[in-house]
Amino acid sequence: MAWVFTDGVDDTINVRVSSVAEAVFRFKQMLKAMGGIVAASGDGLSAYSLGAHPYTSHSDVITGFGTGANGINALCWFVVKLPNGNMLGFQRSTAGTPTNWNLRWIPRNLDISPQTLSGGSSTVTATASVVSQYLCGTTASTYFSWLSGEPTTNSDGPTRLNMAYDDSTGAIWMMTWIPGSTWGGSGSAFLLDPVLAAAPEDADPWVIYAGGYNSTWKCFSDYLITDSAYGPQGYLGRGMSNEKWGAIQALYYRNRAGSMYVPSGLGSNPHTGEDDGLPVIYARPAQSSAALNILTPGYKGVSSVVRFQSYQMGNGQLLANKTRIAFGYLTFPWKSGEEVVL
Amino acid sequence: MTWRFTDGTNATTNQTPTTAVEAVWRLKQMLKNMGAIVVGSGDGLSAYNLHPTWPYDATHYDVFTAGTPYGSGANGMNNSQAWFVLKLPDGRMLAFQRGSSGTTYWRVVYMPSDLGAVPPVQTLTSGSSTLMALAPVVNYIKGTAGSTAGTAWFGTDGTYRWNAAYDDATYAFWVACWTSGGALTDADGAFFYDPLASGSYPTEDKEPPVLYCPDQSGSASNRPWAAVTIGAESTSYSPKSYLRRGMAGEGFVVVTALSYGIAAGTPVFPLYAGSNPHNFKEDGLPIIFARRAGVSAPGGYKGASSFLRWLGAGRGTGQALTLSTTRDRLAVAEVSLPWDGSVPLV
Repeated sequence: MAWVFTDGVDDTINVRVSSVAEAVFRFKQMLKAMGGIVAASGDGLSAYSLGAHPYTSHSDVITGFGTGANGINALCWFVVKLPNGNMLGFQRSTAGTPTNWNLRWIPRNLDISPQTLSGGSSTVTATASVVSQYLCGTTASTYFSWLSGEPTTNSDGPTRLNMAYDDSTGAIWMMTWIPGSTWGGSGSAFLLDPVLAAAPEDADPWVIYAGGYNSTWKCFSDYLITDSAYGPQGYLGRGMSNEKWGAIQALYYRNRAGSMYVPSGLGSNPHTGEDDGLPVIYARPAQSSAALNILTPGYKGVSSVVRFQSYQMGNGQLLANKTRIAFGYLTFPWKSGEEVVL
Repeated sequence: MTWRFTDGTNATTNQTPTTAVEAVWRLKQMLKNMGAIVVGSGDGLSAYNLHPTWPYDATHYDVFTAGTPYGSGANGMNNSQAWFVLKLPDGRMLAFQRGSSGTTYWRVVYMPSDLGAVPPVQTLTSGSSTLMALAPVVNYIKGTAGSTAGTAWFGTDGTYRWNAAYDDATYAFWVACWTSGGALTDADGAFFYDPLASGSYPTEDKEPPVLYCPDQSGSASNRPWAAVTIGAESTSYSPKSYLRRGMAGEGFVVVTALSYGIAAGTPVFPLYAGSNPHNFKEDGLPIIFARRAGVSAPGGYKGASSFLRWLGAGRGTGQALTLSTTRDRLAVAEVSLPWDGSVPLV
């Protein structure tokens, strides 16, 4: 497996984007570069294209990130079938809120038709009957939740965009941040995490996270996640009678008395002086005292992408070997040797 | 690597020792079967035997040869101050001495692997039948140097089950006891020697093993094999290990077994994750050892256990679990241990 930091044309790290539309467009281009197929799309005006199941060629009418025909307009949308068969659906919000996006996860093996995906128009996405899970926004919402925050120009320049994918596992991470912000305020985050060490019986061993405006990676672990909040999400028991889509917690490392060890409470390794970076383990707590709905609790798996920092580093700081970048409480794979444009 | 459940003669599971001395003697026999060498011993009376030369060949200098070697009297282990020193196959040493306060009271000392030619066993023992392990580099994991009384290790003689095992490649080993009937109490004996999972610690760490030999406390809040003891930060009920061995600021200190929890502090592992939602088996996450930066130095990450796993759901102590093979793990309090496939005697 290898992490890839290009969309085939441009680098996908240290990118300065001028708009949310540009960030999402570049994200789509990267998904295509990794083997994703744009199964259907519409520009929110009159152009749309619906592919034929099982979607082996692109039906992509969005050819730029400007407005107007074949651009990114209010209610424009596209659905990408990923190499593993899962799908991601995107739709921009209504006019006046260009930074707001819906983002949905559609599990594989649904054998769905393009009409079901799109409603057969340039502006309408999947109907409620389709098994799709909202990572941002809701079916009924006219003001969708944020997928990506407002790009901001300050003295340090515009919003940064960084993203990468794993060419064998299908893992993806993406983030934007404003230079100098603690949590990447006004930035956004996305993680598609094919988990390791999952039960062989787990038919959907993925955890997905979409952190929106002013939260980026903070919602990944720093809150008590509930099924109504946008923390990490995924299926437990997919295809089984106990199937549940909902919040899946990234577990902290504590001692029984409650003291925090990881992230950030442990310090650097006493022998090497470096960050240890403990694995992120996902599970759904069974305790009734937790805010989670206790239906279908249990272990999910171990992240194949992110690791917790053992001590707090600055956003954008590279670890000693320059193969990982720190952000929030986490570290991510990074292009070896490449400096970060903060 | 294969877990072994025998001392070469007897099984090391499902035993009910008559005394704590028998329990320790059975541990010694198992460790000898693992490849440990008894480099010196004394019966607390007049008999003692010392290996004459470093670094100790494979000859055992074990005086416990009485008809009932864990009995009292000449060449028995059940005498006040009876002792023995084991050199483990990985070069580290453990010394055991029965305390003056009774059969359940012991002192246990750990010596690292890098002592070189320093300790001919005379240094360890002062060449006596009753003194042990007062060399410069010794670490008490039970009892203290200043008292021959020892501290309580096991429960009331004859009331508990005794189980033990070792790994024939990594030389990890454990002892777990519970009161007959399957109840785990604060009085039950426990011990582990954990060389940590390969690759889970940096090569710069020259002393990976973590040791656990909790005191009997008289309090349920200090029950062995539970997160309240293995996960404590500064008590006599916690695991211990070196951090920064051979480096400036080294220390033989408490290292904590980390639980897994959510942001509000609610634990998930151990006990509160439930069974796996896909196959309904026990998941059992690996136990990570570390010392928090806010505790006295040295601190930081230590490594991952080579065999201990937290239980995902509450189980009865002595319950066998079937993960890869029939009854291949054993639930004890809040952890699971390797098991030999037998039906545990509760």
